Amino acid sequence: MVTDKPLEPELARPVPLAPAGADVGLESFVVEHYDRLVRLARLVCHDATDATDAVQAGLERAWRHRGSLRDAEHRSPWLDRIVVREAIRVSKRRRTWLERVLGIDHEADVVLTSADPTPDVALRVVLDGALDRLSPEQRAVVALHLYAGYTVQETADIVGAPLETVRSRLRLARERLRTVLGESQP
Amino acid sequence: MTRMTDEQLDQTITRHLTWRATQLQGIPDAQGMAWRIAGERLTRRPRWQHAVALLAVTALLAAVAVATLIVAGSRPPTGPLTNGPLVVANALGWNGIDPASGAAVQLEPCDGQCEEALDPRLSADGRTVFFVDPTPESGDLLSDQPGWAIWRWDRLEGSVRRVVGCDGLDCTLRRPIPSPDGRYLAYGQGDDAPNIPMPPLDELVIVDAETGREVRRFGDLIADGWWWEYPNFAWDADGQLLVTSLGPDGFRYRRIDVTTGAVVDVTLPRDGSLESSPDGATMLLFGAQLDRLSVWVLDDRLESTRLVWEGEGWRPGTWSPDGTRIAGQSMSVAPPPRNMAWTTHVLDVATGALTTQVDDEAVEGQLLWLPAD
Repeated sequence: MVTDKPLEPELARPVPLAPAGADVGLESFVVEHYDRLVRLARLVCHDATDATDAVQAGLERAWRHRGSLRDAEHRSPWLDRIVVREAIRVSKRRRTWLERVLGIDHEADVVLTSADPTPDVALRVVLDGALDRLSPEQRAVVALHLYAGYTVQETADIVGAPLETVRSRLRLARERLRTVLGESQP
Repeated sequence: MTRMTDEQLDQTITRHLTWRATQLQGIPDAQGMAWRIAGERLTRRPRWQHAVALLAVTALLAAVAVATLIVAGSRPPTGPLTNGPLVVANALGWNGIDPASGAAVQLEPCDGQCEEALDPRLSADGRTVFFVDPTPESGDLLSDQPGWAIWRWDRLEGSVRRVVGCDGLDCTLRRPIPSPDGRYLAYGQGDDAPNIPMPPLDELVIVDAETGREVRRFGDLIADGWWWEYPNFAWDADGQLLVTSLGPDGFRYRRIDVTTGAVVDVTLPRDGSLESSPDGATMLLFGAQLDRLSVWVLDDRLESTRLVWEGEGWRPGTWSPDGTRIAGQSMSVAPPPRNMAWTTHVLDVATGALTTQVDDEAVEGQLLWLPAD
């Protein structure tokens, strides 16, 4: 966003990457965590614009409330929680708006072409389509558990859902993916 | 066709996700994101502008409230409750079917003032529904509004207002249950974010249901890790709060006198989680083991139980307004494209008769049974 106002001192000063727990500048704060967060959001949203919005909103909120994090060692899961919940919310709002106003479903930005350098393009197309048909909540638990490596309990803490609900979402997601994989592999 | 093991399936999904996560076309780099956030912060509206706007809105709401009260004052008091529509509450609103007319019921209690209305609970007189809004910040991400909040929806007036909230991203609020006389509101508060991946430590809070003023707060009554799954506090008919906890030594029950703050141990004849009807007249114990659920009715003196139902697991969600039935849902796998199916269970507490209904249109959410108008 363009602005003609001078940068606030805390935003403008260049600060080197600091150890966990130190109060760092906004830019360093973003750079330190951005890659991990944007990839997680990408998996939950299945849409580049939504993922960007979710990460931006999540980092903004995290930066504003960074003082509330009492244990700096938990900064990564704390940020993951904020951004993943934001990603779920952005995805649901987009889908809701599209369904309500246009009467159509959300369309994922599948970017698979025959020029893809890896051999198993067909499998990726199938998996991508199946993942897109999952709900944002299901994609979140799949991404946190099977991509980010969180345990089921940790995943439940991050998404703020009951443990049994997370187990159910994982089970349903697996069933869904197993079905489409079975259909695609004669 | 060979069926993949769960481990093979997980490996396949993980490989795909690892590749998918690297497809970042259209997403700005970290430096660009930092500048976007900085730009948003610098264009934030000054606080005094928020204050002026808030004052104007408050004055307008006060005028509307006075006018509404004048009109509502002539209405007759609420009579005995009869059961109306059973609705599902989620981010899209409250949706269900009116059993009398068969017409679809669609309610949006937030009415533009809050974001989502989840975890709803009906007052004993059927007039008020308390609910949790977990996303009050989403309307204005750059304002310094507090975090989760509990709201109350007045069904007669159609008005909604915020009762109590908690600050910060760490805070979550759950299960806002009004006392039978409507004076108090009990709810759970979680403060778990800094402790991830450690289990959360939850608090039980009792506030004035009208003003939100805190009356009691207990930080050591409810055991970790059990909070979400089953109900763990309930009002009795005398307006005292019974609390269940499950710790390393097993179940423990305590009774809170809200007036004095006194907490005394209570012995129950069975282990389970407590759920009482809105007027506190009927107290149930839910005993869950794996996928099996047992439901007992406790007598008035909490000394004996009567088993009313036992079978495959479902999660209790809402009492009927007349206090004779309790409804809940269970979730199961369904063929594509639905993926998930929800079964609604309604238990007649007097007879133990259980009726089930699979709703093809059902969506994920929490049940709320409203009185008939």
